[in-house]
Parts: sequence; structure tokens; C-alpha cells
Amino acid sequence: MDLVLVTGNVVSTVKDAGLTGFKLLLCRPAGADGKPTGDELVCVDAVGAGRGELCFIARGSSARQTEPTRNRPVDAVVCGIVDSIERDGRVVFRKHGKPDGVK
Amino acid sequence: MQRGKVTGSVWATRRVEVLEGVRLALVRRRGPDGRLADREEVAVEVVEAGVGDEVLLADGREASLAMPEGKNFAPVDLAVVGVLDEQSWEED
Repeated sequence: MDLVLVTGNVVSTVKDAGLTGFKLLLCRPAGADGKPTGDELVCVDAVGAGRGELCFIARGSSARQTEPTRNRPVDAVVCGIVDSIERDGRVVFRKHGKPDGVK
Repeated sequence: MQRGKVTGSVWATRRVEVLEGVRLALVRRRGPDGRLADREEVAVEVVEAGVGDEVLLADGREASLAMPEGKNFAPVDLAVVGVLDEQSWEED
């Protein structure tokens, strides 16, 4: 699953009926430090994520494997909000606070 | 499937229900040349791999089949499906 930083929201009124009721999040792929790295994409929100949060997403047909997105025309879904990431015994990302070694 | 390496751990309290209780590993894939990719991804980890382990990764919808029984309908597109003990190959 890719790490993404939620950067905003997207609202669409005229859309496929299968997308009714979804919150659409504008996201950018990010590194384990939470810094955005890649080009933005739109994801369906399945966990109540919001702007500024580091999340992980499922893409492709896996994105249809949540109850709300079952059989819907969805290819990216936010399925978790990251609290922290540890690499080699060091916390490199913290949702609330700074990573290890940063004052 | 691809070879890869577990480089860390990811903690997430808020997650879709079916993923509750599943360990999330930070992983890097090995590319065609055997080098580790710079990009780090999150994989579900159900084979008790540890940080630093060389592992086997399954991606796409098939990765969700590595989830525990009854939890296969899950938004999972990358899973650690094996720990590599030994690797051998012939040089070109």
C-alpha cells in the first residue's frame, strides 16, 4: 500500500451513480517521513481522514474490497491513518509531535 | 511476486475494520537488478517477518488473499507472504 499525504478535498456533483455518498480526498504519495513525493491522485475515504494526515491507500481492484466500495468504480481507497512510522529503531514520522532526533 | 526487505513498522489506530489487529510493515521492493527501491510502501505482514528480513511480497488483489481466513475481502494491495532464508542465482 502506498503512503499518501491528504492535501485537500474534491467535490463532484455530476458523477457515476456508484460514487454517490463518498468523500473524495486529494492526496499526494509520500515518503515514510510524511513528505509528499509524487503526483496527486483522488482517493475515496473509508476511515474519516482529513487534510494534513498521512494515510495508506489500496489501489486497483483491492480498492473495491471495502463494504462501501464493493463493486463501485473506485481504484484508490484510503484505508488507514498513520500514527507513527519506525525505521531501524528510530521513529521517522509522528502524527502528533516530531520524529526522533528533531528538536 | 517480488523480493523485498522489511525496513520498519507502521502504526495506525484508525483503519478499516477488517485490518484491525494486522501488523503493518514498512517495506522496500527489490527491482529487476536486485537493488532496493528508494520508495517505501506499507504491507500487511502475517508471516512474522522481522525488521531487516529479506521477504517475498505479493501485490495487487492477490495480496488480500494472504489475510487471515475470513478477512480476505480487505483493501490490501501489498503483503509480506514469506521470509527468505536463502537465495542463489547464476551470474550472467
